[in-house]
Amino acid sequence: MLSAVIFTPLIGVLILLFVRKDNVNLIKTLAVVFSLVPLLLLIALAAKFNFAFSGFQWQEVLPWIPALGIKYHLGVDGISLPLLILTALLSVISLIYSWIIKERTKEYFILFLLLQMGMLGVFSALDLFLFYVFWEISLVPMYFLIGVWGGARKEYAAIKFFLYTLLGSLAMLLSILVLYFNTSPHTFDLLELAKIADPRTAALVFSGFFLAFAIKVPMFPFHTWLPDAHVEAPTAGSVILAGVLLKMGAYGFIRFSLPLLPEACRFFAVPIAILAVISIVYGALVSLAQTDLKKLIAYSSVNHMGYVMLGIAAGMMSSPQLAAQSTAISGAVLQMVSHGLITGGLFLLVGVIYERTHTRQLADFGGLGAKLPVFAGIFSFFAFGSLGLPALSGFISEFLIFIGTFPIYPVLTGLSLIGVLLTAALFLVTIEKMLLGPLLPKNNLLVDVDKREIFCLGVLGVLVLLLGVYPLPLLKMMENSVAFILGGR
Amino acid sequence: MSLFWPEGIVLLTACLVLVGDLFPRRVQPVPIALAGLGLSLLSLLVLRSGGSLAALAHNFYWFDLFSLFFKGLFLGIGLIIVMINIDYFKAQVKKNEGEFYFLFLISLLGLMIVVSSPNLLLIYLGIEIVGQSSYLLAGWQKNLRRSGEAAIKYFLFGAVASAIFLYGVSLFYGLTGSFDLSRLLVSPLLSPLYYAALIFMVLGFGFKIAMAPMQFWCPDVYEGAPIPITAYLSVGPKAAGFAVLLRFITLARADLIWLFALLAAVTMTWGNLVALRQKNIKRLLAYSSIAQAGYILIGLVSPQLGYGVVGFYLLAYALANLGIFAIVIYLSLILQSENIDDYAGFARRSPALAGALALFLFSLIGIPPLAGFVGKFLIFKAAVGSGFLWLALLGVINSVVSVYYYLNILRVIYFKPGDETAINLPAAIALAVMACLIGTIVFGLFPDLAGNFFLKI
Repeated sequence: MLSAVIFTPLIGVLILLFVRKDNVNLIKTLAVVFSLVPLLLLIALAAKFNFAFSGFQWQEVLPWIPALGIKYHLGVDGISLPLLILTALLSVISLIYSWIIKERTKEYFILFLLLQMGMLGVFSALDLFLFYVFWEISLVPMYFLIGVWGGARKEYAAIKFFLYTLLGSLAMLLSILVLYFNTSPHTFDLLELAKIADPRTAALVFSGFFLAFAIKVPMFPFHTWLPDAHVEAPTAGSVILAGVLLKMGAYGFIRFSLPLLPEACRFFAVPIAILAVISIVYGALVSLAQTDLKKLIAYSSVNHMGYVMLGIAAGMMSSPQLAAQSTAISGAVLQMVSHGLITGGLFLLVGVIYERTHTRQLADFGGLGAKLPVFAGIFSFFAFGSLGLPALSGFISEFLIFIGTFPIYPVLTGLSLIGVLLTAALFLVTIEKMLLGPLLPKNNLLVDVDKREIFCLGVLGVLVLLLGVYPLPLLKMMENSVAFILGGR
Repeated sequence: MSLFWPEGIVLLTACLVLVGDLFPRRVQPVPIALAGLGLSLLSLLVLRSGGSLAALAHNFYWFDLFSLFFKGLFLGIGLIIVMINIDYFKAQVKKNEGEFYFLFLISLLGLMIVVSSPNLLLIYLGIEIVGQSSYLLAGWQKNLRRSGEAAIKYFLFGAVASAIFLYGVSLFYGLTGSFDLSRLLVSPLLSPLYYAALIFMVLGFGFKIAMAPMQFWCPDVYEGAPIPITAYLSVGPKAAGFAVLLRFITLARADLIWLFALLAAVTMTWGNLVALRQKNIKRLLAYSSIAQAGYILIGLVSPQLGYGVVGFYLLAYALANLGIFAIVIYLSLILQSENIDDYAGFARRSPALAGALALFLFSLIGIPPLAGFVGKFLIFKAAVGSGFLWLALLGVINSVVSVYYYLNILRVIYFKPGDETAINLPAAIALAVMACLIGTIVFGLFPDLAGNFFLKI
């Protein structure tokens, strides 16, 4: 079943290869259909999810490269399932939004489906080798998406993204190998490895994983690829980058670093928490200084992922406050989902306004509220979601993280509250600059959002509201898995 | 004697091609060469499945799994080189077709001899057969100055390398009274002369694989030689050189490992750093092949695993490199240029070929699920497993550096606008690219396929 989820997009790719490239509508329709199937399958799985079971469900184990002890091992738990659904959903939304792509359509949709396959694989692989394979597969299409369909500095952004990520991944590969040689019998299987106590070289292994995941999240000081990649990527690419690719880093910490290297985690927990707080405050401050709307939202991602990392860092500590720790981790996972939905929405909105004005400079806007009422309403909704307005999903997740981290890092949690204040200021100022005030004469002819855009944004918006009001099912889903990861030490 | 079928068929084919060239109504050499190579490969597979492996003639000639694998690799390489040579030869070289194929086949025969013997004299003989014929092949485009320059340079460097190797062999003979490499194991001598002999021999082979400090010929020869010959030099003699080094490492003392670790570090770093500045595709590929030789040398630090690891990497490297050269040949035919910047817009002229090129380059970088990734994975695994973590780390840093120049090619063909008229592709080149592509993907997804038949990974 999971294989079907992962490889349906690949079937789509193979079919698309044989479609004539000028048959644009067929290409787009097929792509959307093949990206929709995983979403439907995942929803069906979620409906049958066993909430009482803490291990991995729907596991698939096949020998793959027996000579090296590598298995094809898939499975999901309460942490990966929400992220899988998020991935599938954002892929579908992105592809529907990408209807406006006019150049090299066939290549675009093929790459996007490949990207979707890689991302779905990352969140379901339970063999380290397999995980690495999917991790890298998701890197390549994004390079092309940025490089071919990106903005003015696309070439620079694409290569920088690729170099940074590859450096991290190869460091992770070495860590995987060291881990492999430190267990007997040698294995790459996550579940087998988790049973074994800390390997002797835990600190070394941890560093390799840390580099890969910290670059992907990204944490200060590894974040410099992010503003370039996010700003230059095409709209749908930015949505996926912010919505899913960043989550892969945080997911890596939870899935691999926490259960495999508990000792090393304890050792590195405080430095990571400090870096997380720096990311929170720094991200918000830099974001405040931006005049480019897309860059502003990109830096706000650094801030939001900082909260996620703070929650994870709390989970890494050895303090016996298990309840607080599991709250922090649950909050972090919820924040990942919520950030994916909200920031995904915000990047779509940037795309919407850029399509109409061909600028992203805040100074070129102003007074749009009266001219584009629907756009203004939706934009305000997502902006409030991002600053953490109660009743929207961002509030719940940040609140949970703070409750969870406060008993463990009182000072750092206090400091990170500055970030909340700053983001509030950030989005209020942005709303004021864009939507209020006098309308510039050149913006007189703008038209409001169309049905396709409303559909994409509406789906995300409804989910943001739903999670904000009633997050309980999602929290229940991850409860056992989080306890399992924390209790395993 | 049935064991000699593969070599015998190649020799016979070479003679047929040469004799056929004498008749006034020339016999076409290409079909003969293709048929001969195919037949030879077939006989090799039959031998493998028959499982009749033996040493022959007083430990003079070995028919082990090792030599079978390398012979198979050379025959495969030969087939692809002939296929990608057809159109290039018609358009660019034109003259002396029969002799060209004769020399090429003889050179393949030399490679097959090199990998089959533990005897230093026979190894030397094989090397010289390969060397002499490839000096001539490199200078085949007599009307081009740079082709002549390539031949001269290749010859001079090659002669020096042979001399160094022979000097090492003479020392070795003086110490052990034998030409047999397996005497390395039993040699009780730990005199400086013993090490000198080994180092001289390794350096002599370093020439063939373009290992630092014996790599200086590489860029000029690659640039000047006809492209199919460049393609051949970048995979054939290189693989043979590694085969002999593998024989060394499995037979020699453990302290040689440090030498290889050091050489690996210098070679890959040199190749990658210099490659960053190249504008000409052939020179770029020359430095890339130096860097790749550096990665492969890492595999030698683990003697127990070395054979499978190096063998697999060579297979993956040969598939990717030949694929790239096939496309480079095609590009040079339609653009009359070897300058990377002139490739702009190629992705829109021929999306399929550009996609194939991208996959080959990603395989060289080591992105899964392609064969090059498995190769790199095995290499790093061997290094980490034998305690050479620093070497693996250096390999990682080098891989990241190499991304810049490999992706630069993709940047030009995908991101830059250029001429977009569609163009047609010669069938032989298309077939060669297809074969390399299938190999790159299949061995990447299922490395056991190569593993179970020939290698032990």
